[in-house]
Amino acid sequence: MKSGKAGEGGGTIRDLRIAHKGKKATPKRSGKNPLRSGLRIERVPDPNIVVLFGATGDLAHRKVVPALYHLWAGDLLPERFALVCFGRREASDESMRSDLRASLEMYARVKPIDEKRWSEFALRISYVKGAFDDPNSYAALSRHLDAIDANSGTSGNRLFYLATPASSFPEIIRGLGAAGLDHETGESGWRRVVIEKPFGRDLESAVKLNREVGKVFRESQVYRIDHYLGKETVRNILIFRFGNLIFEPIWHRRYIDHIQITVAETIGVESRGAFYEETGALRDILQNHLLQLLTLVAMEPPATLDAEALRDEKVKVLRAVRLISPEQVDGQVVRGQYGPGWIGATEVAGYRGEPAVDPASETETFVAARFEIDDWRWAGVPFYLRAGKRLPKRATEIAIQFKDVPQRLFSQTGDAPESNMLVIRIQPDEGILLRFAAKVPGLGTDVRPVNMDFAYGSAFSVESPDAYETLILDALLGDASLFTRADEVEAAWRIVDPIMESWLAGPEPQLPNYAAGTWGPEEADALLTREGRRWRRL
Amino acid sequence: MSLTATELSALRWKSTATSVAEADALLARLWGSTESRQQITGDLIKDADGKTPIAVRTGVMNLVVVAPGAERAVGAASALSSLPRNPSRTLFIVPRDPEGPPTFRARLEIFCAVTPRGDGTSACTELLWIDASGEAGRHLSSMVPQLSLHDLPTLLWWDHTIDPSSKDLKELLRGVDRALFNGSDQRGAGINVVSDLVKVAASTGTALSDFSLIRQARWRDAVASAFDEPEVAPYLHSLTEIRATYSAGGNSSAPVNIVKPTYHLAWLTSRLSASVVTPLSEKDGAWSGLISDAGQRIALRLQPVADAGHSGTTLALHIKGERRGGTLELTVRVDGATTQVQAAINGTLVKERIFRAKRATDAELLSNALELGEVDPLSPSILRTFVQLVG
Repeated sequence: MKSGKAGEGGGTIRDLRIAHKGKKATPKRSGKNPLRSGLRIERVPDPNIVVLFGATGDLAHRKVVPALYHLWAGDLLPERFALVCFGRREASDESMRSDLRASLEMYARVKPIDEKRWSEFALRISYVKGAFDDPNSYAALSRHLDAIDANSGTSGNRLFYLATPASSFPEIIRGLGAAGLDHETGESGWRRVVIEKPFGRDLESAVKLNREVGKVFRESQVYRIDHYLGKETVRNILIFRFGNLIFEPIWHRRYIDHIQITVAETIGVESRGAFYEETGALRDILQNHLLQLLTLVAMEPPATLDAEALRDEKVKVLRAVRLISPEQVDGQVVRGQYGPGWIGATEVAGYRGEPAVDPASETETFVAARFEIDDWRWAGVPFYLRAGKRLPKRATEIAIQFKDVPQRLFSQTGDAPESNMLVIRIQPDEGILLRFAAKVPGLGTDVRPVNMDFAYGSAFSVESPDAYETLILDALLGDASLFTRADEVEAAWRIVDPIMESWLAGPEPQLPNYAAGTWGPEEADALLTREGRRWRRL
Repeated sequence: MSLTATELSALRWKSTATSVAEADALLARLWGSTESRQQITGDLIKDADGKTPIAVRTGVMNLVVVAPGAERAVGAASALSSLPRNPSRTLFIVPRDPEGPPTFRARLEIFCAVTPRGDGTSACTELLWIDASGEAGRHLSSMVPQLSLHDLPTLLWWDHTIDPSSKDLKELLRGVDRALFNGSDQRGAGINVVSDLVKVAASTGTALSDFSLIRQARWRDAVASAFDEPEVAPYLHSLTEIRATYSAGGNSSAPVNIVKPTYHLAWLTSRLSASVVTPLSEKDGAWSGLISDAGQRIALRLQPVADAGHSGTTLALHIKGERRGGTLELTVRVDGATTQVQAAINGTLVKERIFRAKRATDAELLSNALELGEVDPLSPSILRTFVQLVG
């Protein structure tokens, strides 16, 4: 037998062992920074400037600026931070600060405002007047940002936040590109852009918008914000599913009968009549919030929690959703519009009577749909989604209805156990409920469903941050996990487009078809009852 | 001693007991039936449907606080009041008069807060204020298990000096899941006390968390962030020296507790997967040691600096590395709410980062330890390395 030496490509096991022992042990090192291992500190972003487009608008005042202020007050923004407000109106730094302060008084999550923290924050606010379609405005903005970098050490890191109507996105993006404000070269720092929903009105416009954005920014620089994904309980879905061993094995068509996802609102369109007229519940809620919740419930475990791994899995779900053909729409999708009615002992107007709404409007304020996901995990499990305004109760939840037990051992008592249900309550009463059967104390074998109910409020008394705080901080840290990727947006529109097309091509709908304060049109109940199921009573 | 368990909660029931059995029985009876539970909900207003309000005990954990005096216990209670999770039962134990007769006196209180569910349910937490004198105070391990709620994790917050040779402490550790302590409050240099405690806890299988270690989170983040930089990262496994300077305090001749600066060395050593070649030893007031990172020798130094600050507090971390003719000098300082990181290669500044990260309050530290402690990814390896560094 020929004996080779270790290291020469052969040799006995003994030779190899001896040679191995003689080698200097060199630990294998990954490219990752080992000092990061186990650190759980809340990270503070690099020095940066947030440039807020639409700074005089409602969204900026209600959400974006209060979120930035709370991050500042919570020491989660760097010392070298600046907020540059960009808008069409005539304003000065001082008047902008004063306007924002007035809004904070109304919309801050924590009151009273900490005067010291506000003074520090206000010092970092400046205003640049400009028009979105004027190249000179972007040149002036660029000079202003360079001056802040030079004076305040913000290192060229910039987050462009587009809190404007969607129609302005393309021209702002083009303006930023033409002025070179998107460039991440050498030492220039990072450049990111945050875009608010809606991301298009349909697949075609979404593709077009993504193309416009893509001409200027790389996908890794783009953060499409859907504030639902920043909500604590939505983020908890991932923890619940993949941080616990006991649920994932039964998260499967073998055990799950169907899933219901509900976003119910008691409010009407309030002051957003004009916006809502062009949008409707399908575009406003189902295309984004409801489908996002569906992806989180249905996705496979990602390999890591990296933004790309997570979003890859979500996109896979959207691509596996069976498209509803225009011919199937009537049987699987129900739309509704509220008429006059009563909410909480108060009489309210119908949708067509709301300000800025067409008295003959055909916009839907309610939508319910039945979807199926064609993959191994979910084949045959219906997902019922519904969203509506002026419903009797405000509630957002995901209900997972399990199948019946295979053998009804206790049916002779007349008390066959109800099948198990798991409910993830997203708002307003955040928590998780598990319903299961229990024996009624006594000599018989009476069975009753009982609830095991976890409520965030009783387990954690800490106040959750606003979704915008979470998401803006993530964008500043460069973590895109909770933001929607271009292909994700397009995949969601691909699901919704045939429904819209069918409605447009169909006859005039009979609207309104439900009274304010009721659970939507009766046809929505029929979606389930014809399959022997019913919507959960909320 | 009195407290409001949380800002929104109210005292719903109170009593006293003079024995462990009596205290246990009183509380067990209270929750044992709907009728007795009405002692908690009794005067709460029924809701619009006429339903009686419901009170439930939170199902979170037992917390045992051992404090040297009533003042410290109230301080601990104040930290507790802002916790995100309310322990189901908290025992505040103050051992007194060790030479006196064995006595046990407890004041029992139940605080409840209406949950945000909107159905009137109140979540309640039990507080037991215990004075244990004489032998009773020296046998806490005989008291705690009986007064702990079955099937809930038990956390011990030892807010007291530590005697690792105490049999009672060892027995107490056998019965708890996790213990919190403060290494920087211990006598002398403190490192031997911590090292011995770690060994005792290892033998009882109890997880340990040191407030001093948890408090250093922003230091760790600052150092780690420097090595995120592409220019600096290659030096991580080419370090030659890690030096921590710490406050020698005022003019006191008392020995300085060096637990805090030692934790920095232990953290870096554990994260580099380095081995201890020479444990820390003291010479002329400074401490030095040697570790090896895959053959690369790294000198460790703890250097006292005359400073008016709190004795033993870390003032700066200096890390040196040499690689292919280049020399890295990294300095991290934490001052009030500001953390400063400066990295220079061959004298040229390549990274400077100043960020705000406020010093954690006791309540935040406690919250961290409670919330994250069960899956603490840092403490076990750092404490193991700490023991090796102490030698």
